[in-house]
Amino acid sequence: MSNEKVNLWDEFFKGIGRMNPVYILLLGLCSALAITTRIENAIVMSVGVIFCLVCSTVIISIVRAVVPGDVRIPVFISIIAGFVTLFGFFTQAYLPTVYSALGVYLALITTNCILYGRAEAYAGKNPILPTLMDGLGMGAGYSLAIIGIAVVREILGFGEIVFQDLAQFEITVLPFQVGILQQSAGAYIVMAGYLGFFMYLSKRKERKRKEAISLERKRMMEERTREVS
Amino acid sequence: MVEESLVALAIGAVLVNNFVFVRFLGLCPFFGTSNNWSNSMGMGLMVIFVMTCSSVLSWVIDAFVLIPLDATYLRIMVFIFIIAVFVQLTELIIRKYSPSLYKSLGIFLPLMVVNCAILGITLINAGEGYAFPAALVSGFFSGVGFWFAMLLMAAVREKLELVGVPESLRGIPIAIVVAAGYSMAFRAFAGLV
Repeated sequence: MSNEKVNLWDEFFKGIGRMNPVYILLLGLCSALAITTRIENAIVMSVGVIFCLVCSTVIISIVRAVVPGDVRIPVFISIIAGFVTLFGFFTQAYLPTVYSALGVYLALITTNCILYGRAEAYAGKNPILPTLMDGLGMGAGYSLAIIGIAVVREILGFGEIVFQDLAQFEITVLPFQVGILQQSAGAYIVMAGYLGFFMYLSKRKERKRKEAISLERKRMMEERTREVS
Repeated sequence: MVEESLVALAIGAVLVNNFVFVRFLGLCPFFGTSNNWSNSMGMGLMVIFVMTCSSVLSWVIDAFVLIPLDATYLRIMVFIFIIAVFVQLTELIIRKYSPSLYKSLGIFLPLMVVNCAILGITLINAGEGYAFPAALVSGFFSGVGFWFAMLLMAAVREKLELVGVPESLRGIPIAIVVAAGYSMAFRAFAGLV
């Protein structure tokens, strides 16, 4: 029983770290780059992705047994599109500024590779509870990733933090603006920076692990030679 | 006048609002398949074809079914369904009549359904309220823009194989740095139309 619980947490945390959808699996890049000019947009987008991801993967996990393999793709996509349409209505009604800023990218959550990827790779094969945790974890990983990009781009690019829909305030943070970060090239640069950093971290971890193994091996060899002599 | 604005739309779709470097659409297949020239060529041509056809189909459905029924809120579901069905049909037809073409292009077909550039162009066309010729031109030339971006990227990435890239940037990160460079260059087209 406790073992099962540990596994569920693992399903959750793998989405944030080891299998982060944006930085490790490189899924959902389009929206991660396109809407990260403002933190507010990134937050709403994250909520949208988490909502659509969790709901659609759970539904897919429920119906997976009765969907024949050949029509899998249209069925999955239709379920996802339904939830995206729902979220679109919600945003249009309550968060009009963000809705117009997100524009076509909100509708494009439908084709966000994270959703389809998780539906295909995970929800189609696993029962409901692990699917729920997997969806939440992947969604959380995506949120952290895009909010991370948005923080850099908004603070350095605009020199101020502006919220219009979720809350109303404006804070000037820096006395200057790095104009390039407002543009599309800036999104690529920040993204490459983050990717390089995480790659560096994982490479270093790998190297440390190897060093530890070789040290261990050396120690064992020495012990053995001592025993022999 | 009408022809002029169509030309402007075409140039805009290829250069000013390039799908990859300015609008950030279709990035997953873009970074996934732009690592060599022939894959880029295949993927790019396939995108042009699917994008043009789904623009036309979705325009027809939108103008004759969704708008008269006042059901435009169903656009996402209907369009993605059109794309999915169209892609499956194309796959069947190509497999039946040209196995060699299927062998070289077939692997890219399943990717088309979740290519956000395709759904993106149909939604952008519908959102802008384009008439039929404009929707056709914008679909075709956005596809051309994607293909052009694929080729530019493949040209650089093939050379990158031979260069000493820092260890942490190898693979996709350096491709994104290259894309940043192209994106800055494409920025210069902004005043063109």
